[in-house]
Amino acid sequence: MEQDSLKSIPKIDKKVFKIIFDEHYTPLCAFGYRYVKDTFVAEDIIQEVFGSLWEKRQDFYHEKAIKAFLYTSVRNNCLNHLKHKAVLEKHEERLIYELESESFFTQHVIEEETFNQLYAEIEHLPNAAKKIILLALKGLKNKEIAEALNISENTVKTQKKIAYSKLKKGLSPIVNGILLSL
Amino acid sequence: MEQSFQIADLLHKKIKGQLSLEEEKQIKQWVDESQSNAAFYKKMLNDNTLIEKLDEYQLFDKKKAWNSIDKKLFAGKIIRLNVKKLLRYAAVLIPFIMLVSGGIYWWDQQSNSLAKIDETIKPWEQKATLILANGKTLNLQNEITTTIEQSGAQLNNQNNLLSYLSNKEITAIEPLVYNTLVTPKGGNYQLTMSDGTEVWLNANASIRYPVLFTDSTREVFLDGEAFFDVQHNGKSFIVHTAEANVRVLGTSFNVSAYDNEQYTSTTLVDGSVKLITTDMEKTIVPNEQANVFKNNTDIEVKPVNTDLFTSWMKGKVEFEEESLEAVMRRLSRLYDFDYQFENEAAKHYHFTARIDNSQPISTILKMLEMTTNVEFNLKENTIIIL
Repeated sequence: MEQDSLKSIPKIDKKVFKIIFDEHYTPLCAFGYRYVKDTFVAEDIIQEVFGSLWEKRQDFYHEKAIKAFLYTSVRNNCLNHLKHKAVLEKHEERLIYELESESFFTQHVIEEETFNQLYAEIEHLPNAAKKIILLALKGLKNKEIAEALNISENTVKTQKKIAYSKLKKGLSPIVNGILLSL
Repeated sequence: MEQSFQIADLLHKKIKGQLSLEEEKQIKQWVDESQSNAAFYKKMLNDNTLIEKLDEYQLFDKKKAWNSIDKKLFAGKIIRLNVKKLLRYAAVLIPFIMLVSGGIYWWDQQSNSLAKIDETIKPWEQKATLILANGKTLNLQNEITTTIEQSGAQLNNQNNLLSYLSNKEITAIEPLVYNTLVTPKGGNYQLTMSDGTEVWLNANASIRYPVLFTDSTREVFLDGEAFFDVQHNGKSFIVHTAEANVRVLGTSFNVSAYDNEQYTSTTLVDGSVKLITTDMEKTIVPNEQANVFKNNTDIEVKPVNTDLFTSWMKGKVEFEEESLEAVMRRLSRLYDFDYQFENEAAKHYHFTARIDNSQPISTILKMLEMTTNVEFNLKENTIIIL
């Protein structure tokens, strides 16, 4: 991904906004999920946060500032959601106390940001190759993948080769290892 | 947060086996800082973590999310006139124009006139008058808290919400006892009736309703504009207006029936409603609007963007290609003022805009002035349009 194009942003228009969305939506959902433990709620919150980003788009000039805003907003919205839920359902507040800690926040930001790029690289594979890789990463053998996707084992092997050549420089040794195990 | 991003960058490179010597040192330093950092580092480098993560990412549907956001933020025919942005540009433009045309004195006069306007003409706020069955009136303003017992129901006003609770089980059909909630120009209020139906009453409107719905149907009488969220309880709910009746079972919709507007308009958000005039009846579905023209019994149905007609509840005023005449009519209800057109042509200028009506009236008028050839002046409590 052309990260450089976003380091310093002249102006966030719809095109730039979509790039930001594409790069951060999924990791942010995973991040929010850590707090709310509900994928639907997490997605709702992240969408709202992007809505806010759009409203405030004139205030941002750098990618880092946007990232910080996104993670912080998601965390705040999640905590608000949980607190509201706790009031309604009279849950213990101890759990929320743990989630409010700075270290919880920091650790999970690092986790998502670390895997974000790796994931992005896989995301950019053509659809067929992508599906195969994801199944392979789950530990499925070529034969099992072929069955699952209703294609021939040969197709699986070919797609893996294609993926490998596209991602050679980009991916982790693990993924490379899996790709190579034809 | 800066540091978190840096560490993430290092970890990402470590997983790929792409760290420089210097970077190796940096990450080792961070790992050595604490037990929890070391444990975290180990977890991140574990193969399974990556695989679990990628699995987790599959739970979220990015494409669907984008479609939803795309619709919400970018679709729609309303061109949003950003008032704040316009004013910012205006501040830059106007000095330049003044220097060129030498009209400085004129502008000063103008801005003085508008500045005073906010002192007399205030934005929309929650206030209303309640008329009880016995004729007694209650002023509902400034969040007063009141509880009254009345004909088998308990009436409660708190946090600008008027609500009714039934004190007894409705076993027999008893004569209906009515209350009327009236909003002045510049006011709005929220009401929950004894059956749980919620009503948002806009400015310059009134709704007459029974304290307890002891009859076989639930009937209310509306003059002005209100949004209804009707509770489903098996009994039909009917909204009577001067030109038409709206009949529902349980649904959410907006009714606009102002005497000084051309038509009575019902916009359906959810559920199903039937519109009835003396000659006709029509049923509409969500995202449709039924219009009845004054002194006419024809019902015209058309598809609409319901947001345009219900956003008033959130304090937004939206116009789509509306004439200045219609715009002034609406604003005068929301802000409580009289107006007079001294420029006939101006009546037909058209606007498309989305305004927050918590803004002072002067801001809105300035915006209108800037986009057209009109001028607004204040004479006593009347706004003159030149």
